[in-house]
Amino acid sequence: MFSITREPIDTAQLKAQFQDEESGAFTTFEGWVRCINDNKRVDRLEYEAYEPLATKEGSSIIEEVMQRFEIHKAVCCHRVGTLELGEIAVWIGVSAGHREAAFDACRYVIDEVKKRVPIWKKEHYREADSTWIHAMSDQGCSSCGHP
Amino acid sequence: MSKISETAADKPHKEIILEYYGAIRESRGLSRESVMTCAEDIDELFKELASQNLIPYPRNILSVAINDEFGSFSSVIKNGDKVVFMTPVAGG
Repeated sequence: MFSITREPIDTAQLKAQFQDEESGAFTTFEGWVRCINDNKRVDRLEYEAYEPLATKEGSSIIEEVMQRFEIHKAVCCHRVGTLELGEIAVWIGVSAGHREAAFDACRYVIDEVKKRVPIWKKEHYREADSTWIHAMSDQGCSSCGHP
Repeated sequence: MSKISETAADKPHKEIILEYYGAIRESRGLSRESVMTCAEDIDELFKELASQNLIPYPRNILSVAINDEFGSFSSVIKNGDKVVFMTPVAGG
């Protein structure tokens, strides 16, 4: 399942969906808002989604990951709106019989979400003009550490 | 409603919806507008918009959606379509 929310991400509620006796592994990825990017102090982030298409594309990624990996369940929730430092921008959970598939599938979901889902991010800096981040640029990403 | 093309008077005009997100929304100062165009495909529409600096980004970095599905610059435009030009995404 893929979802977009304007509210703070409730990780306990998301994790509760995964209770089952057949899974021996459960991996999560959380993208956090960090305080620095490109040597600039970040104050907050603003995420904006083209929601109808973002939900379709995110759901396609979840369907793909279920087919490609030996996993039991995959969930991704992406936040939009204004996020303060330390808040969770994206949460991914994957359960599987064994850890390798769970790790690989979790990585697959975040990599594909960053490449394909129409969500945009504006960084607001403490001492510089705010900037829309475009993944193709050389600017890094202040929410998950990826370039 | 704005009229974005005065050319090709013999071509039928269509009314379409343009939606804007992120940097394009901010530069346009709007989230959504209705426009009249005689563009037959997304490529022609992009040229019309770019000539008026309404989409201030080069074509080679943009992707496009029509009616909430990914499209291409060769996709045909019909009356009533919703079109979104998108800068590179940056979720996560």
